Amino acid sequence: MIKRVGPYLLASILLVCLNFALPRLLPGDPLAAIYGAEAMVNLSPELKEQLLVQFGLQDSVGQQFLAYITNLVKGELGYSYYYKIPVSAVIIKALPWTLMLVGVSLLVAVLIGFPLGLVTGWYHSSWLDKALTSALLFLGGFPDFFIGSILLLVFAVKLNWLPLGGATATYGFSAGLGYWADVAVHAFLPILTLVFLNLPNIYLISRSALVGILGAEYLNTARAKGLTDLRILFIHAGKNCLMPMLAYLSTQIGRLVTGALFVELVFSYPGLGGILQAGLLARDYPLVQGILLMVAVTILLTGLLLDSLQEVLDPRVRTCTSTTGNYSKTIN
Amino acid sequence: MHINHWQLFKNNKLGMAGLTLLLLLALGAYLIPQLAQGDPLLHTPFDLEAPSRRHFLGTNDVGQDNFVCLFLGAQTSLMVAIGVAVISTFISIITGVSAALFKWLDQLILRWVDVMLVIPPLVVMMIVATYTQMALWQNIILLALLSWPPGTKLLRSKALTLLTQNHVLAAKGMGATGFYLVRRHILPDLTPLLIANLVQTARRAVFLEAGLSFWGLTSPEIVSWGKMFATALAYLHLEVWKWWLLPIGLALSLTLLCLNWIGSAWEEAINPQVRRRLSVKH
Repeated sequence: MIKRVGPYLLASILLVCLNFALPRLLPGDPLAAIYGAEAMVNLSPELKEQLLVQFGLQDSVGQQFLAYITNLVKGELGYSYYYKIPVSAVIIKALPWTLMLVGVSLLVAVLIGFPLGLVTGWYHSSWLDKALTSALLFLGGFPDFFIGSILLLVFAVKLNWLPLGGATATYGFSAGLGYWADVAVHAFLPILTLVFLNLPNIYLISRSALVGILGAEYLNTARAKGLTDLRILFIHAGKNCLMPMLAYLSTQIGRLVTGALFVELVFSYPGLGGILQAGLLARDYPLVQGILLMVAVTILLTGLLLDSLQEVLDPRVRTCTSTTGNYSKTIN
Repeated sequence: MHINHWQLFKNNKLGMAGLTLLLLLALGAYLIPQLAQGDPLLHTPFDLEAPSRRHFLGTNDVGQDNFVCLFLGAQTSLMVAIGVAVISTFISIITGVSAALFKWLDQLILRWVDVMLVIPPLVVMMIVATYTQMALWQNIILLALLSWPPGTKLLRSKALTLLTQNHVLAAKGMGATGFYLVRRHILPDLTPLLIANLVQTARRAVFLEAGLSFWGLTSPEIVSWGKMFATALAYLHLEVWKWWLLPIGLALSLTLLCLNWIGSAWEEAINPQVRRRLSVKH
């Protein structure tokens, strides 16, 4: 378990240190580097003094680092000069939208892609398999924002079937069934885009996993026992394809989340991506840094979670810790 | 083993199509901005024009010719692709082969690679880019510094297998030093994998750079497809998307697809199992 956590822990420490060191290493006033030149003009002298004390920029580097770490642990990511509320408050408002996009799209992509991959792997080299694989390979080559823009263009601009952006209508319902219907309608295109983004890889991984185990003995046994093809495919073979897919997913979490950020940008969705763009446009650097650090930590945590899940689900991956050290001696 | 991988690659139609298109794009990226009259990046008052004889793809929101800007963006993407691929593969060779050669270095490099593999490169690029406005060459170096880990793992495992081969053991028995072994025995056999690594790294680099410029985090003087796409996205409600947004998106997707095709075709060409299948057929 410790071995698994190691890289993630080290990576988090590195990112935190990068975020700390970068504005202070650059030439010029660190407060200007952290807040940006435009914000410096807008900040009153009292606020500057307060920020200097809060960031500890007048203390030594060691004390600054300590203050930085303490702030992080407390959950204080700074003060957003654009939204006039603490950065953590802004992030907490935006995070549910992003989590919903990522979660739902991942679920849908897996629910569609995994069975599809299994079925086409079972009947591989058939015309359906060749057509579907080449179509999805083609789809997988497109960058995140392009698919989103095309969908936006076709469905929202040209056909007017779906809204142009945002999570809810500006003057719509605020609660109840109407609200949730509104949310669903607004979330449809972003989620569809993310599904298109994630589907090719999940499909290809599960298909190649199935093709890899097709010659296995236990499948022959299952068929000899008289089990139906469907049962063999989905229960006996499918379970063994779940592990490679999960392993692959744990490496792709970064792409998943950043893909969601891009899609939010295209659809003006008020999740982390939308807030990030607002912060970038307003040069609100503490907000931007807070979001990026938050995104990085989320990616690392989710990766660690999926990695540990692998260990729980697949007994073959577990590292064996012997309870007595004498076993090797008895062999010799 | 002297197998002509290039011959096998040429049999793959999709790979050859990808290579041809990419070379055509490179040619266009080199020629067309030079053939353009005047300064293509000058802001003119003729904005959002439809395609005409003067401007093949019309003009964008500040009056620049879309066609020429498309190939200027191609210049940036191709420079990023080549630069990052070469630097990153170079670092991968050094770390991968040293990890295979020296046992004490192996664990250290492996751990470091594991940490780097976990970090999402786009987020690090964004963190650095919001504090600093980096020029293109700085972007390339930073991307290369974030892209070398996957190649290292590949090259290390291949080098480990190569080191157990008989000709290497014989050379070691004759007193060959590490450097000689690498130069004469290991590198030639690593070359196919190196090329595959170059293509994959190039693809990821183009993708990351486009994403970074889409967020507007690159220096304003860099003409990049991502930034052009983001600007064009704001004008989706007008008719201009047909000749502004679409060609940029298609160009970027085509570049990525070509690199994808080339990469898959080459990986198939160097895969020994594919060769066995082909040899059985004849």
